[in-house]
Amino acid sequence: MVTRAWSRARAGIRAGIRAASIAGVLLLAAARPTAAHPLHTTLTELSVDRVRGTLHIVIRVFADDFGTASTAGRRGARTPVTDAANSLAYVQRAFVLTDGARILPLRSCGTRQGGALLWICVEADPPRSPAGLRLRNALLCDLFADQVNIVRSTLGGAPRSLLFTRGDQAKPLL
Amino acid sequence: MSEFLTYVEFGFRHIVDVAAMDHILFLVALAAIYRFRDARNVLWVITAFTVGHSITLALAVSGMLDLPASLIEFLIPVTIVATGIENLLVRDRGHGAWGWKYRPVFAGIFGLVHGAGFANYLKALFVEGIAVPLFGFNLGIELGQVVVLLGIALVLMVVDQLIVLARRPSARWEALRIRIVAVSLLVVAVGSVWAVERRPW
Repeated sequence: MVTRAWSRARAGIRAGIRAASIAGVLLLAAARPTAAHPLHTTLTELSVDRVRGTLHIVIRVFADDFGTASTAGRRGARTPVTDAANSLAYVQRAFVLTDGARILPLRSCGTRQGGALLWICVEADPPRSPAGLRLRNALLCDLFADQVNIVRSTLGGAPRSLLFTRGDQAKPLL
Repeated sequence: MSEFLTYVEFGFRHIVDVAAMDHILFLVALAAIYRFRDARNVLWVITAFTVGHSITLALAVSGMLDLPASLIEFLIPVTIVATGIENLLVRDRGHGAWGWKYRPVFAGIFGLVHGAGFANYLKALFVEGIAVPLFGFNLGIELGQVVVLLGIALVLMVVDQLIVLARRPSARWEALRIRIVAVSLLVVAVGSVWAVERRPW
């Protein structure tokens, strides 16, 4: 009796292993389509332009990633960002600088493409108090779960780096 | 956070993410033949893999090596398939002049391919001051690999226990051999699908 039950249990485990193996192959094969493991990342340099008296921000982003960024925020929609106005609108939504409770408006200071990279320049008026300056950088986080946004800031004199991923809240820059 | 630590975290996140499945599957293929008592051999293999991918990463990022991304994307699953096939073909590693010794060489050569996979992105992004990002990113990758390998070792232990429970007393193969064959077949199957999907022609 016990032997038969044990034998049935073993057969069940064997069937489970077979089913799990087949499911594993199918899931893994489906999980990775044609593209290799890409680095979904942006790199932002944030500094003070003492000549113009502004915060100077240069965002490096892979052009193809940025091109698939949704402008309308529609779930599942991927409308290419085709013009400067759309690009700026997207950056303003995803890259938010606050000085206390006030959002610092961003202005475009040009965009250029070099190879696979897009260099997006934006600027803002300087904050009333640098200590109260905070940044939320959710660029492309709406598209890629593994998006990592790196920000290098020299606002406080010494360089400081911040890392943002999906779901991160605003972080102090100093 | 310091710039260096930022890149360590960047590398770590990159490798432990589910999107890094091709890299993780290669680690599974490498680890499939080992038990905990083989820790020394595992260490040699992983060190060789690390050295291999650090070399191409450094060469490619510094511009001394320029490899087409489509070729690298294809070769990565090929390394997975080749490792899986080697697992299946070599049965007695304890004997012979090479014994366990050639496997680190194997891992080192395949590491060269995997390193080139990251390089194209880093090279594009960090056009100046690459040393700190490169070193930090690489260290993060290594730390991530250790975490992934520990996870794989735990899963393989569970698989071993299931095999011991399910194995017929009359079974010809020992439990480890069954595990190696099962895991390697899975790895070869998935790697082959990716290789076909990514073929550059």
